[in-house]
Amino acid sequence: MAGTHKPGQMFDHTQIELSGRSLTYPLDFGAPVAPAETVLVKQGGVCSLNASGQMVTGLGDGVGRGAVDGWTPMALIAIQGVEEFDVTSDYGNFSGGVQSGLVASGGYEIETTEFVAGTYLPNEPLTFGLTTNRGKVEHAGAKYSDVQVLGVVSRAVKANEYDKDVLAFWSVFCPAVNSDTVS
Amino acid sequence: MNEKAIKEMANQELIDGLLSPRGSEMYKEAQEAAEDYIRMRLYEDGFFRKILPMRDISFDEITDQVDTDVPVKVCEKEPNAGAAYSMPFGTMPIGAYIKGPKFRVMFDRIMSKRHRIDIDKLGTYRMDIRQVMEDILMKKIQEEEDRKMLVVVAYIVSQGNTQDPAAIQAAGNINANSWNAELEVNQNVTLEAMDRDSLAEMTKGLPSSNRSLNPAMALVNNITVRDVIKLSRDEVGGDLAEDMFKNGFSEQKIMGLDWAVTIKKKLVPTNTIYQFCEPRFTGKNYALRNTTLSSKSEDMWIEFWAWETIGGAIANDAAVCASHFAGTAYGWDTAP
Repeated sequence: MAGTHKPGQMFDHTQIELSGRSLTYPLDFGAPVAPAETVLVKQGGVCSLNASGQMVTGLGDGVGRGAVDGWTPMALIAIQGVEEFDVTSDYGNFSGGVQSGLVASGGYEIETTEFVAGTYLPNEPLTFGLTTNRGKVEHAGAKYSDVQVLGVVSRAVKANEYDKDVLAFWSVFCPAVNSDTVS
Repeated sequence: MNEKAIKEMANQELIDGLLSPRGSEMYKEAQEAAEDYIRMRLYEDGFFRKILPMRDISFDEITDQVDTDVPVKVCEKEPNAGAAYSMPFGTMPIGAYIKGPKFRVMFDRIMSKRHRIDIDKLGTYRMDIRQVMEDILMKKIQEEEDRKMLVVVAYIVSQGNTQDPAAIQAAGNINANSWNAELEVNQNVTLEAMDRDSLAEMTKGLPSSNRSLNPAMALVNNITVRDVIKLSRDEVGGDLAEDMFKNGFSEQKIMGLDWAVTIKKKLVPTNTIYQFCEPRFTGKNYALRNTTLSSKSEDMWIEFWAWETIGGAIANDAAVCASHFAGTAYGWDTAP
């Protein structure tokens, strides 16, 4: 059948800093991608550092967390997806190897395509997805102290100019101080 | 004028000089007055650009992609043809279609850290610390270029076993584990301790593949190369042995190879020599934005950093190999 394939576009997965980013002084962070990572984070997705300082997709139990139980990984919102060419290049290329993200403790308002589908209301706390939702933000579903919060919804879900659903939130770093796990 | 006032004035002149346009008389005077400091370590230009010379390109040469706005350049490789064959009279050749392989060169950025200093602290340095730092930053950029290249080389010659140039000699990465079935050759082998015979054996590495390429350049660190200097008159030839004895090793041709010597021992381990083909057999190396030094002076702050946007690829696996002069020889064409 002719004309059925839709090639990917650069706006399929996006992270846009609506406000808070200094063009030349952003609080961002770059690290090598963990070689064993199987879930590849998209632009706008959630990632964190494992104990080796490598970037892993998402965070929480079972996701390359810190070396000591109770350590709460800092969430990073991916500026590039792992599969983008400046992170992962073709065989033989010298480029790539490092991925970067905005640090959630920074004062950003971030608009992302990488969230678990649903209805989100302003001021709703957000956490990170697990298992099949790893690498996405989703409803915190609990009090601040009981779940790690990485963002607070600033604008409800809407379709952007490319008809992709996006969710906007203010980044925060709020560990689950009442819980001894980070999930 | 008291001594303190003179000193303050001198500092101000240094600052004014350093803030003046590069190349101006005031800048040069400040520079000359500020070079009296102890050097602590040696920096070098990178070897990456010697092995695979970099060509500046513009966005006119970038191949636009649908799914990304990251710069990409599509390049071509030589096509291949099936073997010729013998037939009796009265027949015509069977058909073949022409398909030339292509590859993508992808780009990313190398940056130094952003260095800043308060101008009133800058004034306490007699040396031109900004110029010194700028020179170092440029070398650091090239060091990262070198590292990235050898990550790829390590991956190729170890058949994907490691991307760590420092691990290239590990048992899991050499000899039988370096067999490239497509090229029918080992790409990372041990050889006997360095002498004329083992050096000659080393040069068989690239020609041993089924692509029969010739090596053009050897990459060696500044320790291993001293073993080359040890080679006697009857091993490397009279004049060369004498010259190396008197003057040490300068980058020159030995055994038909140009030698690049590096002080980056973490990238090129001692007793290891990499060989590369001429660039036209090896790959491409492009600078979309060659190394640029950005600087900014605002109020009481001066800051500067270096950056570049480059892309390159080793497009031919058969153009690289590694040898380790470890004392036990392993054949280039010994299949595991």
